[in-house]
Amino acid sequence: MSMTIKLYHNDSDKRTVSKTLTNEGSLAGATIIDDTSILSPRLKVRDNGIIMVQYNYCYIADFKRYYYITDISVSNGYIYIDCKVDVLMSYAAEIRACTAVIKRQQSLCNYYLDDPLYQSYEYSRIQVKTFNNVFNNYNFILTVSGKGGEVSA
Amino acid sequence: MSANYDVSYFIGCTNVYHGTTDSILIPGANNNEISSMPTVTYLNGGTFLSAATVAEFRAAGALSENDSTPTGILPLYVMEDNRGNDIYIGLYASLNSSGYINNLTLCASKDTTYSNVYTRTSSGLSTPMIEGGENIYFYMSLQYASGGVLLPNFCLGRTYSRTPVSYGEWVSRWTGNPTQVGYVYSQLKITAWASGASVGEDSFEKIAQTSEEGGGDGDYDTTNTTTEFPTLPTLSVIGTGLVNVWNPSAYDISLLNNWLWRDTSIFENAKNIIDSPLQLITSLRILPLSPVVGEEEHFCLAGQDSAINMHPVTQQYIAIDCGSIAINEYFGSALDYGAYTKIKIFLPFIGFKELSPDDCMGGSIALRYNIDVVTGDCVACIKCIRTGGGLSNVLYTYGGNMAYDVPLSSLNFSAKNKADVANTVGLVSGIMSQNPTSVISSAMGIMTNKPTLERASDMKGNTGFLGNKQPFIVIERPIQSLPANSGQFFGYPSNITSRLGDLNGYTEVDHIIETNIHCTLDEWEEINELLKEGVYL
Repeated sequence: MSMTIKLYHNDSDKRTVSKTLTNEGSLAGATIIDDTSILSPRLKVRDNGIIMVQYNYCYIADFKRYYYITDISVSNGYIYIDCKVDVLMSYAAEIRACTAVIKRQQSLCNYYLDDPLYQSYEYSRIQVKTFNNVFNNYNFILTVSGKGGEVSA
Repeated sequence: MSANYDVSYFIGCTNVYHGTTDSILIPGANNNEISSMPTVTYLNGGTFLSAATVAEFRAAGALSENDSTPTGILPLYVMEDNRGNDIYIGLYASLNSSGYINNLTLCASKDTTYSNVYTRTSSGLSTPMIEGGENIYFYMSLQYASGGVLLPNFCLGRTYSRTPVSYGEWVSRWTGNPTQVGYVYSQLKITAWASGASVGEDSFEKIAQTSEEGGGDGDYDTTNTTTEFPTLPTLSVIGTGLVNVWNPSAYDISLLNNWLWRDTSIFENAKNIIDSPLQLITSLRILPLSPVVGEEEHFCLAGQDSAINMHPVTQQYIAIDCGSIAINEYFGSALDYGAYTKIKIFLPFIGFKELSPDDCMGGSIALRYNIDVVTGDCVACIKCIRTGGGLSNVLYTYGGNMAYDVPLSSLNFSAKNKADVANTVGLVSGIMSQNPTSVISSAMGIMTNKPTLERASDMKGNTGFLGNKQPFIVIERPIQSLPANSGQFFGYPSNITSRLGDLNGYTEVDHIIETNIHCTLDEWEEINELLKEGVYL
């Protein structure tokens, strides 16, 4: 089966769900090598002079999936393109529709939860705050026996 | 609640609902079309699987135990694709470490082995399913693949319709792309989890149920009863006639001294019971405060009027308010609390005491001394006030003594010396406790493991009189080492349930609660792994 694949250049981090794709191109007449998985297909296309090195990403409409181009090789007038599915980009909409318990987040966070990533210097910052200085008036206190000092013999 | 049922013994697949079988002609790739329903042959003796035990799964090689890969499928039915190839639909399951089937996978394979799988979809089995006999729906459709080959595609539904749906609904619900759909074929309902009738059918070792329900019945009552500073005692020795307390000046003391030793007549009344006029004096102390006194009057001793004017002390107990200190959060995070920030308070005549940041952070602490003027005994009361938490309570109370005892006789002096030595030893041991060796040996430890240092010894009485007499607090905060923009790369702790589409930036998922991703099992596992490791939304 011959099909057309869209080629892109991807600069986004692998962990980015929605990649920013540039330098869009198209490659017609691509066929899938038999016995390859839909998750990591190997494509074969006649070498018609297309500069494949400018692409590292593609979309195969027949599979409704985005792929990383993991390797490109040339042999006997054919270009062989090894791909690996990008599940984040391929299912970006469905992933965004997921409801989940978020472990860490950039903005939806609670700073009062203990963070194992906290790091601090070995020394600390000391702050001193004083109460009112109330014990500064010295007085003698003389205690004697008996009312008026009276004692009975 | 069927707590005694062991779900691992039974899986019932009671029904297959077929979707509409109206003649459908959908243009597919390369004009390959299907217009009729493929032939279906039920396996297992011509009837649909009604019950499957663990033993049956195991016998079919369709059981994943100890992370093993199943080698077979428990067959349900077989059908032909549009090229005459068989598609075997079957189940395989996995056992968890407790021996329970915790995952069930519907699989489409080219044969009855696991090695030629078209597609599969799994359902993790959760407690409500186990207890409630809840249904799982596997929806299967057929769609064109490359070359016009008809392939099965599974979708998993648990909360969607449990009755057959029309083809149109299928298209809109599951695919959103009709050109990829060849036929909606069937829905498989799996039900009757943990049927009591099936318990014991299998020879698989039962796991004894030892857990019982419990907990969760707290009243969540957070109402707080305020505790104020303790009131002063109302019963006093002053005024009883047993003792008389004066507030002389230094000059008065000098006059008194002259009078005591020069006018021997004052002993005439007591010469049979005392050896020295000083024995009539119970104590002479210096206190760092102003007592409550009455109008001046002549000091009398042993019935003799000294003609020395002194103020009599009229109140044995007094309270001295030291004010309050606001303790604000510095970081606005966990760093202000717990193991990170330490707060100590210096209490004159008592010493250093540690306060919990949880008690006062974001609020204030107020300090008051209740003092017995006669003995010099004092109690420092610390009230913690946190508006946000509704806290306004005296949570700390420490005792001490703030009197400097003036030795009036050799006996007094000897006793005072012993007390001074004892306090000095305490002071030295307090300093020694700041052992530099221990600090060095702990240098590799994190801050929370730092040794707790004593900053002062027992400061009671005469020792405290020589020390600092202004109370203060020492807040020891960590100095955070925070790389620039770390939140963008690592995020911060969240533990909040949210729809991922409502978030932006770095996100780590603890676990997914609700999802509707139609993908292969391997893709799902990769998505799950990536979300747990952190992605950028």
